[in-house]
Amino acid sequence: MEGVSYQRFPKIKIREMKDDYFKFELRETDASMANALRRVMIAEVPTIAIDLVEIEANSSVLNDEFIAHRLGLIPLVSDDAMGMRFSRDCDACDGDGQCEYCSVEFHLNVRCDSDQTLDVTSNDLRSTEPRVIPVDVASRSLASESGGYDSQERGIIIVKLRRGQELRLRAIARKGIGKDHAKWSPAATVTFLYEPEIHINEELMETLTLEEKRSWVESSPTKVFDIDPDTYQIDYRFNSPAANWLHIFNGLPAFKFPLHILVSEIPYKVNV
Amino acid sequence: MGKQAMGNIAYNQLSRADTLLYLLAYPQRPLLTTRTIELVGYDKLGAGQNATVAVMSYSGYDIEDAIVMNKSSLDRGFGRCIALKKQTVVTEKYSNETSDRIVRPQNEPRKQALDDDGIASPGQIIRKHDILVNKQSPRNKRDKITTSLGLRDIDYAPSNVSYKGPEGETTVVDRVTLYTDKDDRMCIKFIIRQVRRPEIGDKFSSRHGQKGVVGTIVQQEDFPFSERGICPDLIMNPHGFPSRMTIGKMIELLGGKAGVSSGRFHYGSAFGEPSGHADKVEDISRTLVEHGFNYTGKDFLYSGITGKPLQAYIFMGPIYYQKLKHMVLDKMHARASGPRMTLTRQPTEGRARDGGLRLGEMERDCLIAYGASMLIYERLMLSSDPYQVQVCTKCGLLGYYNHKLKTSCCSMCKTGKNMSTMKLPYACKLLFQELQSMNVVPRLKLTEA
Repeated sequence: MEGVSYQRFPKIKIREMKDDYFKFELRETDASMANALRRVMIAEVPTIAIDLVEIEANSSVLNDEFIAHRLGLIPLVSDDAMGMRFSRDCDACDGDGQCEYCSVEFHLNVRCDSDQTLDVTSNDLRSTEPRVIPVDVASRSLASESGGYDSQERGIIIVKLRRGQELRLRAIARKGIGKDHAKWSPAATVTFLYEPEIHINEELMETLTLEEKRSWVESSPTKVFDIDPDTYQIDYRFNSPAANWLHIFNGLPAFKFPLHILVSEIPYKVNV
Repeated sequence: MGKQAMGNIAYNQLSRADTLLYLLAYPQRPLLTTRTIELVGYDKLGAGQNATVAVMSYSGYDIEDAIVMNKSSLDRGFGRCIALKKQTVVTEKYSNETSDRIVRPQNEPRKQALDDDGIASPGQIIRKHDILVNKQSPRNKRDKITTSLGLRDIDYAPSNVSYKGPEGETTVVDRVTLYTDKDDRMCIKFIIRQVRRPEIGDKFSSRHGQKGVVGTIVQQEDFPFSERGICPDLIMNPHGFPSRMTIGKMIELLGGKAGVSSGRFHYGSAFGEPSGHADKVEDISRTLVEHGFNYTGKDFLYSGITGKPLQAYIFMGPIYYQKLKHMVLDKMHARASGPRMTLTRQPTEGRARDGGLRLGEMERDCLIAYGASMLIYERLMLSSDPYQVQVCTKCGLLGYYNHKLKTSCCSMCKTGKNMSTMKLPYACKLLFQELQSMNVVPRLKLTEA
């Protein structure tokens, strides 16, 4: 049987990669692919987050459930998440979710003995597994190694304590996915946009005076265009968020030029 | 803000003992206020949260003012509330100088929340029917105690006080207060706490009277998103606008959007202010354009399900949403069989008494019109208060059944000859007897069925 193959070979080009930001181009495929990636990134990439909290003492202003919820939302370094087991299919502990293969234990023991309000932060969480720590703590220790450590930087605040108040608890972090609870979602947000293909009608553009060109360029709120200082031609600035092109299209009152002449089409090209 | 909205009620809210107190877990200050709100100090105590609202249709679960909620937003604490309820227990004192006593619990079921002093301790998780106070009352509350030793253990009967709340949610004893009242009786006050996340059927409202219940909760990946990565917290159906003409809500959306993008709290008065402190819609639009938004406040969104752009631009921005205190958990009710009233033997009424759901007159009319007579018979009699009576076919009055002689008998005719058995609602029999007591004689004329 000789079938027609619809297999595509998408290409990825990384444009920017930081600790908390990632931007890449996805080519030679369509939106469904980009959207599938987006959905998986939000909901199905496993991470580690605090899932069970046993409170021994809590005399703070916030109640136990409140603190448990806040602890759950603290992002943890999840490099080990792939090697970890989901507690529901862990054989070592019969789904108990408390063994070394499927859980990481945290301890928090803070007491305020001064007259100043004490902030209990993610720094106070003591992990039994040095590779699983709150991400802000990790990034700070990384920064201190490279020398640029700012000791004034605070962690993620869990609760504030007054004199005599105490918080003592044991927390268990487990592996999970964003579909079950947003605390396991690895991304703050994931989005994509189609790359606009912009054709400037040079012929028509030549009919404009420099002054008109300037105001045309100015009228874009995100400054998508530039005027070449040498040739006085209008350029598209590729590093500007091209997305806003479509907002312009929607018709700003200040935008008086016949756009449809200048823009020929916006084809489907995915640029994540 | 209003009477029904949740939020902070006072600075001492956590040390108060109200019968019922609803607090919001993360109250916020509205992004868009008016000068008056500020002068009155209405924004000092938060009563809601700034939700990113997309005005569009989604899934069909948003008809009739229902709203669609983003599950991830709920996970992150949107609309989360704390319900605090008070329950008071009094140790009674009796005329024979005896009184109730609270004793240390043995290892008994439903008493796991109790401390050694017999009172539930703060922080304990309790379920329905769990005992809060291990209380005992003397069996004899009237006669003077003659023995010099006082009452023994067997002279006391248990009179435990238990928690009667809905099942499902985790309920915790928040605080326990001991005090004596004006009659010098010892009282125990329990503040019982529940932390609730919004569920389908919970009521929300914006500040423009646009109230609605949660129709469905949708995963974030299915929600529409913008190219900036903004995803709404809730979706509101646009049909709420034309007939209600809540222009203020649209201005709030615009102003809120301008506010978040410029990092400033805006004023939302309809016509701006001559002093120039408040913003007109024109100024707001200008701010929006400066930050790369469309001046109408509409955004270009993609469908989260397909990844394709939505066909229309979506009016999206932050609106201050309040959670109202009407929650399904407190209201939902259903019953199969259950308690009945003693007088009429009909099912009780109301949720508090685990009552039945009434098939009212209008519903009855429908069934009559349709001709579903057996259904009416079932609803109005068999499932309500069926009662078997002995009727004398001669005098038409109700007789009785003599269990000793195993015969029925008419007390009017003093004979059991013309008796027949039939079923009628107990309420009907009651009516006959009440009429008879007023010298009105209802007579039944029976025909062979």
